[in-house]
Amino acid sequence: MEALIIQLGGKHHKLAEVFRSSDETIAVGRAYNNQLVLADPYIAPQQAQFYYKDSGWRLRILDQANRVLHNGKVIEQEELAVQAGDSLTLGRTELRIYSEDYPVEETRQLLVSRWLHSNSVGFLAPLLALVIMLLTGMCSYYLEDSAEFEWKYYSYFAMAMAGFAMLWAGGWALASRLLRHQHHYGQHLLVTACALTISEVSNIVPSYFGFMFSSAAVAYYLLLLVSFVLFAFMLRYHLFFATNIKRPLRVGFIISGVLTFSISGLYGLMNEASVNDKIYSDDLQPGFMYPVGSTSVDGFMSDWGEAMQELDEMAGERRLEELNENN
Amino acid sequence: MKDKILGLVLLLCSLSVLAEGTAQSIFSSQRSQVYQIRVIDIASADKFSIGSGFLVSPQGHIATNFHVVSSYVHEPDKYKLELVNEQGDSQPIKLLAIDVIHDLAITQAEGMQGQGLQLSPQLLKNGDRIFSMGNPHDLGMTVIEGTYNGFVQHVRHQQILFSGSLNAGMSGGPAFNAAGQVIGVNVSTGGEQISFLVPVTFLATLLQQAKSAQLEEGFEKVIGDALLADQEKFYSEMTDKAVEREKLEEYSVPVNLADSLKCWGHTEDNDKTLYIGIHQHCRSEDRIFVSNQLYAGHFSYNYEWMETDQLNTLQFYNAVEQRFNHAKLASSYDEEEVSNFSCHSDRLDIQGQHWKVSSCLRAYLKYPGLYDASFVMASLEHKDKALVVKVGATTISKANAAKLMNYMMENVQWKP
Repeated sequence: MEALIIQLGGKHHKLAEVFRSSDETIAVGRAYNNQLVLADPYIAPQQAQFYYKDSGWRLRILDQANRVLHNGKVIEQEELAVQAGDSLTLGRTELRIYSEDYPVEETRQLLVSRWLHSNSVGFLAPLLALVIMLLTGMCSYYLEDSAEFEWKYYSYFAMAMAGFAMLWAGGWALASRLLRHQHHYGQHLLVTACALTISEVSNIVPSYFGFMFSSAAVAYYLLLLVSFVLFAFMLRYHLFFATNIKRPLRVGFIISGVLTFSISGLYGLMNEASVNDKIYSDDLQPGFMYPVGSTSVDGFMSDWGEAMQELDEMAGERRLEELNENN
Repeated sequence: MKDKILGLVLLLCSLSVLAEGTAQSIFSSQRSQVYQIRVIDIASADKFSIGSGFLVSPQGHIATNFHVVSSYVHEPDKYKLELVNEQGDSQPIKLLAIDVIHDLAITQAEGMQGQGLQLSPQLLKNGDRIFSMGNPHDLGMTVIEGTYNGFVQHVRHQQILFSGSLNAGMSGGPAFNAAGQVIGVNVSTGGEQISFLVPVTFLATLLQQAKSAQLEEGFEKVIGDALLADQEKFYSEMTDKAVEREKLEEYSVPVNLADSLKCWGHTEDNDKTLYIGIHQHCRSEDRIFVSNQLYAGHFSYNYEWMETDQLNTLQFYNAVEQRFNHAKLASSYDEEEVSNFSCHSDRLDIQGQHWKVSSCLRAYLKYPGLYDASFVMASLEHKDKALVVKVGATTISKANAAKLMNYMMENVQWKP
């Protein structure tokens, strides 16, 4: 006779309670005379019974006070055959039925670098990453923004950045502690610091492309894209440490996408409200940084003419709208 | 000696008596033909704004400022116009003609007594006494005495500089010479004892127009046409005249674009910013009142030379980037009046040099053909020096905006 294995609570990341049959029948219910006692007030004292018959397990429902669900559907008949992989809902408790030879999913690979996944990466690596982040920030600030020396403000800013990184990592550590019983603070801090460092470096790219295409829109959308990808990868590692989600990268991309989309949407709406904003490309680089030739004056004037033609059309539409409103 | 002093004292006394007598005589002789003009809010039946006006013809034509009656012009369903005469009686008036450029309006009332004040286009001499009448702050009809000081310099539209104190509510009132003839119309003030009058010649022209032609289209069209014609004149004079160039460090830039502009300059050379910035700004300081939300006819240009020996190229270009923004336009901030800005930017090859150019335009909804234009260009040719040129113009036509851009791109030249 094949043993029946009943797992309480179906989630793979929790320690599941597993009940293994030792007899040909298993009585299930809230009363203590059952083999499998389920402390769920929505379950009857004698709720159901599994029994072995004709080389298969069957389930007999003994109490119909609350309907029992089989793979999400209400069981209409008094008894039915069950097999490995089925789920049963009794009251508010979910049971899964397995057999001993039921296949388990493949072993998931740990990260390439094992030390990142070890329970603690120690103190040094995250701290070093934090320092590198601040130094990178400082370098990019020096190279790009230091027409006025305001190191004092930069150091305040750096301190705020470090504080933010530590708090952010702390939040994730708390989540890890709750969901996976290990805080992984070092790993979270390391991931945060690395992501911020990369963002310091990669933020130069959009403004350069904005310059190349002479378009504020190109710079803006590229910045959105870079932030979206970077944030998704950062989330991937946070989720990896804090949860047992199967596809953390996919979830990371979804969350990052939703955030990027909604934040940029809000920003766009706020901009729409102010008519005095001139949205134009204000990225400047020395001419030699541009690989391709520039536009001629005539070419510029004709492009400008076309762009302004659109303005006239928009203004015309608004005039018509107002005319209609007044009538 | 004693006789001489006595003589001088007597002369001074008699002069002051004469002067007092003149102000008094002007007041008493002309008072009956000077009125308070009221804009009445129809819903509340109370006055919304006030000004002054005066009779200029036996047919009951009354002159005032455009800005006094502008609320009525823009919202004729919401307001109506009235005058209040010497006796305190009010009667309705009808708006016949406006000159938005010179801030004048001609209205007409029925059954007016009087021949109308005499207009004198004759020029006065600087220092001549002139007298202005009006009803400041609704306090009562007032005469003030001041000095004629010729025409205001560096303005787009001719005005008389009157050294006297006009106050709110006197707008639209007449200014007289000693003979009691009207030489100008009170219009605005520019500070203590600095007031401005519209020369009476513009009033005479508008009066002729009001007498001869009936207004066929709405005032909106009249305003739009006047603004279009005015900008056409200003910008074609500017671009047609021979270009005067001046050297700004390593560039040659066009200067003195128009006589009516006021120019200023300053240099930023402190330890905190690690570059030197030399600025030259010019702008028109008079503006055309169209409504409380809209002043038209602003023009400005601005050259900024930047040079550094302390910043690397990236740092320097970042500093230039901070300066690469559009000029602030002294114009309307009312969303109802204008469309959104539409901008176009590109990198250009101008006379063999790399430049970044950006130009924005927004359209006036009520006045088709008129735009606010803004233009900025920065040289990208050098590692440690750059020129930033900014131009701003309000209520300009698209063709003139393009002309102005071409003018700048042609005439700003690298001449080390």
